[in-house]
Amino acid sequence: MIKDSQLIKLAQLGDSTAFDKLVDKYWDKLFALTTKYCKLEEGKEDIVQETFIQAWQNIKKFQANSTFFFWLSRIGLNLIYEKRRKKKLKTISLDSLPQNCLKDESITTPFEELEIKELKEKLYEFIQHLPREEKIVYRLRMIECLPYRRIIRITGQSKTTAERCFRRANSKVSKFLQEENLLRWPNQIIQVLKEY
Amino acid sequence: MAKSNNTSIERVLTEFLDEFHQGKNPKIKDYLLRYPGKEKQLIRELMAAKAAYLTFHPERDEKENEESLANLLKRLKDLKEDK
Repeated sequence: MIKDSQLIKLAQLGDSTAFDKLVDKYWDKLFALTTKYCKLEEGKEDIVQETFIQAWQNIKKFQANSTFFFWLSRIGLNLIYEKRRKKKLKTISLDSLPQNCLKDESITTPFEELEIKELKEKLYEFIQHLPREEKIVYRLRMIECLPYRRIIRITGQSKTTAERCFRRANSKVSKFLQEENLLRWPNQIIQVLKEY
Repeated sequence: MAKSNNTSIERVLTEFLDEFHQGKNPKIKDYLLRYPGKEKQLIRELMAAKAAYLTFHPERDEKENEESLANLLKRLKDLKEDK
């Protein structure tokens, strides 16, 4: 079976048959995602179709630092958001809206859910590969939110040593966050937040 | 108020996370003002700590805040580009 990366490379060279294989592979998965986030009664199939059209038009921009499906899902969620926005503009008078309802969380949630989920998963994975002492202190401090007086009881370290472990782990996380190209997507969120 | 320059980065990180654990939402810019002379070292450390904290505790993310997760990650990217 041909790998996604090979199909993507071929598609980036203009091979539409390779792209068709990606469409076949991901259609159902994308449709399921669209169904989850798209509350509109109609047009889910159109969104999936439009997602693949946009993906084909922009395939050269795809970089292998996220999965192909994650990239597709961002295009799809963008389309859902646009569709909702247009529908709201068509059907709702601003005067009829209660105060603060324009900060409708449901509009930004699909982006954030997926993106924060991916970031969280990558961070968890990254933390797993830290040296044992750093991993333990970092998890207890950052995820479990324990104070050092409890951490040192668990690890048997001095507070200074535990703090050093945490800082070493934190510095590595800082590098990881900068090196990961997770950092293009926030522009999309910021744009959405600015509009509301 | 500016604090002693002898305070280690480790201790500043402790103070910063303690604030989160107490239910507050500490601002990176306040810490940079509080510890003058350590800005370059502190900014990456505090941004990473805050970004990670908000990732693991998204309920604490104030989305319209200039130090929201989205804005922090954008700034971390900018730091990389400034290298």
